[in-house]
Amino acid sequence: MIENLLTYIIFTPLVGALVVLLLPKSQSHLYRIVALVAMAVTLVLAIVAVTNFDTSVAGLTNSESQIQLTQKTEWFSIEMGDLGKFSVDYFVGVDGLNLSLLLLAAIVLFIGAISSWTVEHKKKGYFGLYLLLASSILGCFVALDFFLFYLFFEFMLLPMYFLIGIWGGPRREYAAIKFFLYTLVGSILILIVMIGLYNSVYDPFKTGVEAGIFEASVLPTEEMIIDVQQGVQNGAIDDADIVKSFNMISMADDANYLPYSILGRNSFGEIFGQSARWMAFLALLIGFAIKLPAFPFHTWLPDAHVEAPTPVSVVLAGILLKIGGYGIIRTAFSFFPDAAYHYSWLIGFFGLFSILYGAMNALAQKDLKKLIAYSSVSHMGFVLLGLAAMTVEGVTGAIYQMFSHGLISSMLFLIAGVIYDRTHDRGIENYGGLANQMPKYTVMVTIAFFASLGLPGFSGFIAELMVFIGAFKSYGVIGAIPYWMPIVATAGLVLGAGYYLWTLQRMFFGKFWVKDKAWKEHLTDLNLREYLMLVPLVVLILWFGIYPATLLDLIGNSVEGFTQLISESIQK
Amino acid sequence: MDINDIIIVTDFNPLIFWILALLGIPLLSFFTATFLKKNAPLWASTLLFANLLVAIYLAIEYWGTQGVTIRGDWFGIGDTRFTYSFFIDQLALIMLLVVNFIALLVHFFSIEYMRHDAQKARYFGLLGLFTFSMLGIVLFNDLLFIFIFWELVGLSSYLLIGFWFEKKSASLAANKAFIMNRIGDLGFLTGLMILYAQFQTFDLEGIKSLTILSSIEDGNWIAEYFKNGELVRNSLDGRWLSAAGIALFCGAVGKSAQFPLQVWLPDAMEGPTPVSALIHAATMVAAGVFMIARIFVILDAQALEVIAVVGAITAFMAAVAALSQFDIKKVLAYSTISQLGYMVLAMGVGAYTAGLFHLVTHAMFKAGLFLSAGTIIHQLHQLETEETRFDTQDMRVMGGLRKFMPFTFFCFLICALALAGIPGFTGFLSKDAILLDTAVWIDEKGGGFYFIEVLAFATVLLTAFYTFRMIFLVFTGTFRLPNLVDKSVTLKPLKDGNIFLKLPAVLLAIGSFSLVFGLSFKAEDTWFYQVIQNPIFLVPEPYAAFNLIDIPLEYFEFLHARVVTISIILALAGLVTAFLMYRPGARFATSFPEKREPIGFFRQISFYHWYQNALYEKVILKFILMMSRWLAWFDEKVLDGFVNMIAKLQVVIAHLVAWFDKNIVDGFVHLTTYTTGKVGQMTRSIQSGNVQGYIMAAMAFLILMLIWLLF
Amino acid sequence: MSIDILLLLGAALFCIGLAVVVTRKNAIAVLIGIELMLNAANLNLVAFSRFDGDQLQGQIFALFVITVAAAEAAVALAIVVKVYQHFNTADLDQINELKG
Repeated sequence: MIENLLTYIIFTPLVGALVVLLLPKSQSHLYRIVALVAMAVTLVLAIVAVTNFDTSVAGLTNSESQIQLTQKTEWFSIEMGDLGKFSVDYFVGVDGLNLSLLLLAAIVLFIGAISSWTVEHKKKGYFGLYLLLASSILGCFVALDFFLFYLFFEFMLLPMYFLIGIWGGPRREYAAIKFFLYTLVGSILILIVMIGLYNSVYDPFKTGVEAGIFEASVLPTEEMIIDVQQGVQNGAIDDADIVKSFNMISMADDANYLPYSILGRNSFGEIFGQSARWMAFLALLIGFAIKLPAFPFHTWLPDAHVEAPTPVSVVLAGILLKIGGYGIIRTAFSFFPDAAYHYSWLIGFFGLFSILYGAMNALAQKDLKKLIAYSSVSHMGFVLLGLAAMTVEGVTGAIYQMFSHGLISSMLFLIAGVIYDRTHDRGIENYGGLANQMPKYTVMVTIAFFASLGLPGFSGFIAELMVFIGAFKSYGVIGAIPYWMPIVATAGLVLGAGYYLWTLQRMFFGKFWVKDKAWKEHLTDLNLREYLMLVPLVVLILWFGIYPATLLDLIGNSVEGFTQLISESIQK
Repeated sequence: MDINDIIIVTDFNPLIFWILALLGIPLLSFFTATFLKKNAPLWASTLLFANLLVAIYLAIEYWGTQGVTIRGDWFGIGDTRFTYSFFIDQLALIMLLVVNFIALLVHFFSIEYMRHDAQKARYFGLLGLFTFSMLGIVLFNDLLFIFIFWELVGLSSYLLIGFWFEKKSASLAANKAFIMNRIGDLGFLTGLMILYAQFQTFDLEGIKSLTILSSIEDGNWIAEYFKNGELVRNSLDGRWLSAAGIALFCGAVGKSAQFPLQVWLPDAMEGPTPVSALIHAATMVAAGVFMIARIFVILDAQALEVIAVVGAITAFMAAVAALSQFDIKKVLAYSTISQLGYMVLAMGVGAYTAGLFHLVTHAMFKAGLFLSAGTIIHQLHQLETEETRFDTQDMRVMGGLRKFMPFTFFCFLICALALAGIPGFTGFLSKDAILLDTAVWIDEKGGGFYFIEVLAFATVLLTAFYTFRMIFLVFTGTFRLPNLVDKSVTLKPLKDGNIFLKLPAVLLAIGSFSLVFGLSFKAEDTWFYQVIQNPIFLVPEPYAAFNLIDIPLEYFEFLHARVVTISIILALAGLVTAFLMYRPGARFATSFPEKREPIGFFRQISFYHWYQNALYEKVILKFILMMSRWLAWFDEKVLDGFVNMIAKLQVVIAHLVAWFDKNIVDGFVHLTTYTTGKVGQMTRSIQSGNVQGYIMAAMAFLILMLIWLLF
Repeated sequence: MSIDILLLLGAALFCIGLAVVVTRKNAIAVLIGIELMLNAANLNLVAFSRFDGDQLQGQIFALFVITVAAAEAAVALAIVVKVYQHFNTADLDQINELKG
C-alpha cells in the first residue's frame, strides 16, 4: 500500500473519470458523487502520505536518498548504438519541496469538487474532465522524471482548455484559447531545455549496470556511483554504454553531466553569445514564470479567471499557479544554481515588480474576480522574491506563500462565486451595503480579505514575513539581492490593504443598494454547501497561520538541502 | 555567547496559566458575545471584570520583582528558532492594570451607551477582540509577537471605527485608520528585517543581549555571536543601526498617530464614543509609546533625535488644530494626538519614565474626558426625534450644560484640569516631568534643538486654551440647541446619565488627582518613579545616546524651578485667555453658534489641521489612483495588447502564407503542367497518323544523319 | 563482274521499293514495296559475300532474311486483312487512327 501510495494518488481521480465515462446518461446525478468520492479518497491518501513522511530525513535535494515514498521502474528505453541508451522512468516520489504542494492540491481539488456540485450543463464531460485534470495535476507534483513531469504538465492544458472553453463565461473561447496558447509557449521553452538536458545528463546507476561495473540487482552505494561518474569523466566507460536519463534528481547534480555536454557545468557551450546554461535557465524560468504568472507574462490570468467557472478558477488559482513556482524550484534553480545566482537580481526585481504592479492593477479593477486575479499576480511576486533571496527563510517563505495562497485564493474565488451564483454579476460598483443583507457572507469575505492582505494569525502573514526577512538577510549571507528590494516590497502590503478594504467598503458597507432591484430576493445568505467549502478553508488558513510548524516541519529539511545545494554550487 | 543560551525555553511556570487567562478571557468574550443576543453586554463585562481581577492578582503577586520571563518554541526554520516569550515586569503589570481597568469601565459604560443598538452583541465581541490584542502587545516580549498583536489591534480598531458600517463616513474612516497604520507597519516590518538579519531572533531579550555584544568597526555594525556552537558574524553598515530604530519607530508613528500619519485619528471619531475612549485615547494609541519603551535600550542617538523631533512637531501641530474645532470629539482627538506627541517627545529625549508616566495619567484623564463627552452625546441623542436630527457632537448645539448635567460637568472639569496641566492633577506631574527632561536634554544637546523646547512649551499654552475653550463652550452660557432647532426638543429634560454612565466617569476623574500617585508636586517623588526607572542604552559606543541618568541631579534641581514656573504660567495664561474669549457673553462665545468653516489662512490651517488631509487626498491618494488606473490601462492595452497583437500578427502571417502557398507554391506546380500541355498541343500536329509520312521522315532523317556522319 | 554494278542494282531496287512504299495508297502495294527493299538488301548481302573469300556469311544471312520476309509477309498480310475487315478499306491515307 505505502510503496504504491503516490501511484494510487495519481490514478484514483483517473479511475473516477473512467467511472464517470462508463455511467450511462440516465445516472447523471451520480457523476458529482463519483467525483466527490474520488477526490475525498485522494485527499485521504494524500494525508496518509503526509503522515508517512519521515521529517527527519535530510540531505541535499540532488540525492535520491532523501526522496521518500519512491516508486521507480523503467518505462521504456531505446538503444541508440554508439549514442548510448535513452531511458525514461516512471519515477515518482516526494520530498519537502513537493509534499506540501501535493497536500494543497488534494485539499483544493476536494473543495473544488464540492464547489462543482451545482454544475448542471453537460455533466458527464465536466466531471470527466475535472477528474482528468486532478489526475494530471497530482501527477505533475510527484513526478521526478522530467519526461513524466512534462507529460503531466502538458496534459493539464487539455482538460483546462475545455473546462474554460465550454463551461466558462461569455468570452470563454477567447480566454480558453489564450490560456492554452500562452502556456504552450512556456511549455515549448521547457521542452527545448528538456532536450538539451537529455543530451547532457546520464543516469550513473544505469550506466554502471550497462557497462557491467555492477549488477542491476545490487543496491548502489555512493562509492559505486562516484566510480561510474569518474569513469564517464575520464572516458573509461564507452560512449555506447552511457544511459541518458530524464531523472530530475540526477539533473540537479553537476557530476551527472557528460563531459563536454552543452549544459554541463564546465561547458563552453554558447547560445547567442551567452553561456548555454544561462540561456537554458532563462528558458526554464520564463516557461514557469508564465505559469506562475509573473510580470510581464501574466495577462492570460485575468481573462482565464474571469471566464472560468468558479471551481475551475479555484483550481487554477489554488494549484495550477503553484506548478509554476514548484517548477522553478525543482528544475530551474536546482539544475542551474550558478545561473540562478547570476540572475538573482533580475528574478528579485521581477518579483518585486509583480508585487507592486499586481497590487496597483488590482486597485483599478471593477470586476471582483479580476481584482482577485491581479492580487494573485501580486502574491506570486513574493514567491519569486523569496526564491531570489536564496536563503532558508526566503525559500521557506516562497513555498509557504504558495501553500497559503493556494488556500486563500481558493477561498477568495469561492466567495466571488457565491455572489456570481446569485446575481450573475461581479461588478464591484453594482453592489452596496451587502453586510445588511448577507451578514454571514460578509464575515467570510472579511476573513478572506484580511487573510489575503497578510494579517497576522492567517497563513499569508507567516509566508510574507519569511520572504521579507529572508530577502533582507540575503545580501549579507549570500549576496543575492540588495537590501532595498524587500523594503520596497513592503509597499505591496499597504496597496493590498488598500484594494481589499476599498472593495469591502464599496460592496459591503453603507446602505443596501444593488443595481438591479430584482437581485434583492436572490441575495440570500450562505447555504450549507457554501459553509462546507468555506469553513474548512478558514480553519486551515488559521491553523497554518497560528501553528506554522505543521508545514515547516515537513518542508524544513528539504529547504535546507535545497539552499545548501545552491550555496555549494555557487562556491564551486 | 551562544544565542541559544540567551533564548532558553523556560521551565514550566504556573504563571503561564494566569497569562493565558488574561489573553483567553477577552478572546472567549469575542467568540461568545457575538452569539449572545441580549445578554452579551453583561456577559462581556463580567468576563472583563474577571480579567481585571486576574490582573490585580498578578500585580500583587509580582509587584517589585525583577520580572519573570516565560519562553517557549513556536517553530523553527533551518537552525533558527522562532520563540514566543512573555515578560511580566513592572511596566507590563502597570499596563495590564490600566488596560483592563479602562476596558472594564468602557464595557460598563457601553451597557448604557449601546443599549438600543441592534448590533450590540457584535460590539461587545469586538471590544473583547480588542482587549485580547492589546493585552497581547503588553504581555509578549518578542518583537514578532508584538507586531502580530499590533496588527490585530489595528484590525479591531478598524472593525470598531467602522462599527456603524451603514454610515459611509464611518467605513471610510475605518479604511483610513487601517491603511495609515499599515504604512507605519511597513516601517515596523523593515525594523524586524534589519534586526533579524543581524541577530536571527525576534526575542527582545535576545536582541538586547546581542546588541550589547555588537560593535561598530570602521562604520560597520558587527554582530558576533555563536549559534549552535558556530560563530556567526553579521555585518551591516552602521547606519542600519539607526535605521532599525527609526523603522521600528515608524510603527509607533502609525499607531500612536504621530506626524505625518496622524490624520487617521480625528476621523476615527466616527466610531462609538466609548471605543474612542478605550482605543483612540487610552490604550491602543499608547501602544506605540509602549513599544518604543520596550525597544528603548536599542535605540541609538540618531533614532532618538528623530523621535524627539517628530514628537514635538506632532504635539504642536495637533494642539493648533484643536483650537478651532466645532466637534467636541474632534477637539479631544486632536488633544490626544498632541499628548501622544508629548509622550513620544519624552521617549526621544530619553525621558523613559516620564513618557510612560504621561501614558498612564493621560489614559486616565483622556478616557474620563471621552466618557464624559460620551455621556453628553448620549443624553443629547435622547432629545433627537424622527423629525429633528442634529449633530449631537457639535459644540454649537451645546452650551450651559452645567445646569442640566452637573455631575458630568465636574468629572469633565477634573479631567480637563489634568489635561491642561494644572497643579494638583496628574497631567501636571507627568507633563512637567517631560518638560523638565526635555529641557535638560536640550541644554546638553544645544544647537538647533531649542525649537523642540519652544514647541513643547507653546503646546502647554495651547492645551490649556483649547481645553477651557471647550469647557466654556459646552458647560457655560445658555443651551443653544433650542434656538437652533425646533423648540419642542426642550420638552424632554436634559439630565445626567444613569449609574452606567456616571460610575466610569467618576472613577476616571478620581484617577486624575495627583494624590493617586503621591502627595508631592514633583514627579520624581511619586511611586511611579520608584518602580519604573530610566534604563541604560545598550547600543555600541559611537552610536549610543547620552543617558539622562548620567546628568547630575543638581542640574535637574536647578532647571526644575524654572520649568515648573514657566509651565504653570503658560497654563494659567491659556486658561485666562480662554476665559476672556469664551466666557458667557464674551464676543467669541456669542458669535460661536453662527460660526461656519473658517476663512483666513491661519484659521484654516488650524481648522483643517495644516491641510495635511487635503495634501494626502488630493495629491498622494489621487496620484496612486491615477497610477493604478494608468497601469491598468497599460496592462490591458499595452501588455495584453501586445499579446493580442502577436496573436493577430500570427493570423495575418498565416493568411499571407496561405496566399503564398496557394498562389506561389501551388502556382509553380500549375505552371509546369500548363507548359507541358502547351508544348504537347504545339507538337501533336507532327503526329499525322500517316505511316508513309513517318517512313518518309525517318528516311529523311536517316539520310541527313548519314550526311552528317560521312561528311 | 564489278561490285559497283551489283550495288547500283541493289540501290535502284531499294529506291524503287521505297518509292512504292511511300507513294502507293494500297496497303498490299506497300507490302510489295517492302519486299522489294528487303530483296535489295539481300542483293547487297549476296554481292558483298561474293568478295568475301571463303566465308558465306552474307549468303546465309540473305537466306535468313528471305525466311523472315516470308514470315513477315504472312503476318503482314493477315494484319492487312484484319485492317480491311475493320476499316472496310486498305487505303493507308484513310487509316490514320494515330493522328495527334
